[in-house]
Amino acid sequence: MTEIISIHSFRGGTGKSNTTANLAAFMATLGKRVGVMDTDIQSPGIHVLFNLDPSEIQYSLNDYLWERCAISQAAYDVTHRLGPRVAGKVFLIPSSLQTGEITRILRDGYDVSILNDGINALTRELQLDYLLIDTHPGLNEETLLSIALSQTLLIILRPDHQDYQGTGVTVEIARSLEVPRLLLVVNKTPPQFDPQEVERTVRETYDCEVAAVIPHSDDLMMLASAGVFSMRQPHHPLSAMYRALGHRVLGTESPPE
Amino acid sequence: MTATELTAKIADALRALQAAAQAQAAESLDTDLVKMSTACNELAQLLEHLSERATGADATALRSLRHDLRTPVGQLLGYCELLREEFEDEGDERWLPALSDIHDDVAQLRKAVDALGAGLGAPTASARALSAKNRGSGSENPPHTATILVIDDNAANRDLLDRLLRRDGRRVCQAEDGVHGLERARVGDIDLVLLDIVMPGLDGYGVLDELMGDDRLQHLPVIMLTSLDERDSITRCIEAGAWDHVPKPFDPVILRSRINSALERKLARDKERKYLTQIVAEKKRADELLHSVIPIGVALSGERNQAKLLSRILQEARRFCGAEAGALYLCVGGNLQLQQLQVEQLGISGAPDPDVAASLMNFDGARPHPAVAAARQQVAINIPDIRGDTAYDVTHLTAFDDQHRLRTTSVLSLPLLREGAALGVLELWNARRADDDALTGFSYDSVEILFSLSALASAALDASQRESDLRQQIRRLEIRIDAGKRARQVSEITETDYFKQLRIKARQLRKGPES
Repeated sequence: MTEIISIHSFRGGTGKSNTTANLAAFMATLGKRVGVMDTDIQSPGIHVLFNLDPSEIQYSLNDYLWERCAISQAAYDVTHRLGPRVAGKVFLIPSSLQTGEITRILRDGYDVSILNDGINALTRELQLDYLLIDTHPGLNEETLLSIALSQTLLIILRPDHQDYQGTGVTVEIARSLEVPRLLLVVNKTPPQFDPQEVERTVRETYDCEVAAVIPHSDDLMMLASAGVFSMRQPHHPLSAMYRALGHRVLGTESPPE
Repeated sequence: MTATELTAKIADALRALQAAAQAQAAESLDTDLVKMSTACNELAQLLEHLSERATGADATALRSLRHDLRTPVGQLLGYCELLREEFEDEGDERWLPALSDIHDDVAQLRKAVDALGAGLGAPTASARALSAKNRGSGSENPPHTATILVIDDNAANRDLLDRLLRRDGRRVCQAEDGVHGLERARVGDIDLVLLDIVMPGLDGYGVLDELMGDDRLQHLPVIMLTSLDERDSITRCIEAGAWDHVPKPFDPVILRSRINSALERKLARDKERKYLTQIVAEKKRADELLHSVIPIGVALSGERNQAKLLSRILQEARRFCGAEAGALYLCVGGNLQLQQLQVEQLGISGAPDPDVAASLMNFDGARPHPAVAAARQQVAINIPDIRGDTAYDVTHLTAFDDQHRLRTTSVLSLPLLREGAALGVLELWNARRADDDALTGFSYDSVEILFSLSALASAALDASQRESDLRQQIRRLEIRIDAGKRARQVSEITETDYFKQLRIKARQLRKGPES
């Protein structure tokens, strides 16, 4: 049984794709078979983190949604791009980077039930342990579908007034959709904050478990999405935090770092 | 007519005029006629002495005699002109014909005296010393008020000059010799000195040297009164620093014009010196701003600890004016609160004891507390002496003094202003002068500099408070959610058909394909 985990945020720029990529890499190092689906059709980007060149993408999620290919044809094994000691697998299902394709989806829409079928097919054909869905920010039909299909929903927010209200709405919607497990991740936290105080305030405000309070990192910024951070700098404190978040999501014991 | 005959004629005319004055009870005229008769008698005696020594007298003796003759002649001329002017001003024509006749005879006599010993050359020092007894003068005065010091050993000359100058609205001080003249000049308030040259003891040259050697007096205009019209004497005085000279007997018009000219030059020079002083002061202020105040402002802006910042603001302000003590208040919730107290004599420095703070913040007096007034009016309150007449309530300070056996005199309260609001008040007590450490009031210059410092301190304080507020805000992490708005936003989504169907489908999926 594949566990579907959606990674969502109400606003853009929260670090959703980075968190997704690091989680996927972590799971793969534990020997898991992981699918990463980029449903942010309007502004795709996670392929950059896995160093997947646009020229390598023959079929994308868009092609599947327009019934040009099977979903498995739009899945790319990017495991070898993470590093030598990865026991599991990571398959990336990217969205199209071609502007014409993006415009067409935006203009004509698509049948979200096809996406549902695709997810089912993918988990079955690739024998995935986990499917991570990197969603488009906000709440539209495909986002709601992703949330509805998820066993676990990770909502990423920054300690920023722009994020608070929308996160509150997303949490309520997820509850309304009866998502079994809801986790909040506070990302890009300024160093002046006390992480424990942040965890307590966010947890009490949303009445929701906080899986991690991740600080703002200049080192992460410096990497500029040219790779998965925790694989590039495994000894960095931030990488330890991503691993701890991974254990929290998987419900496994986090060994002392 | 000879000089002796002219003198006798003048004496007769004076006696006749005096009898008429007594008959008509003209007392002031009678008093002046007595002085004129005295001068006339002195003249007669000198002429007699001259005739006795006419033969065989050397050039030096003749020059000395001529000098001595000029003094009574000058006095006679001076009194004639003065009395004529006074009577003309009063419209009293009774005495004018007789005074005119006497004046004409004295003028003729002066020509005779001037002719006497012509070509004898310059007098020697011994000649000057010999004739150091009496001098003469006479004339009038110019427009604006000024205080003129007359230094002359001859009482009649001083009296004549005094009356002439006062007629023009001058204030006059008299000194009977060089020593007293110098003493009076050093007291101050003198605008010009009329200085006789030949005097017993310290003579005019000596007085002039003393004046020019004194930093405070060397700018004073000095006009030499001299019966010595010889070139080398005048040259010596001008070279020594005298502004001008007036030869005796005085021509009133010339005397007046030279006094006027000197006073106008002094006025222009005073203005020039004042401007120069201002320029020097401004330059000093600019230098202090550039080299002292601004670097302190920069240093203050880098201070992150607010308590240290407050302490340093007060410390630097005290250093600038040498203040013995000071306090720093901050506006908290619309009220002033004492945050820092520094009293050098008591070794107090820091946040004050609550009881002390309460006593110094006694704002309930009938008159305003200076710190409160400075904050409300947003101006500096400078009190030179708190025990003098002041519009402010300073009982908190006098009580503090009594308790600790101190004596506060001057107080300066400066508002710490930022964007039109008072952040607090910087208060300094007892300024000390830098050069001699004496207690003094807060000078205009120091208030100006401290105002600049307080502006920079206010900016640093404001920045520090903002940063502190921000830090607290960040530490608190306030999350505000509009629950009503959230409910509306949620229902806008959940009430759609798509969402309702999705919810049903999601339930089915989670139950598994079997269900």
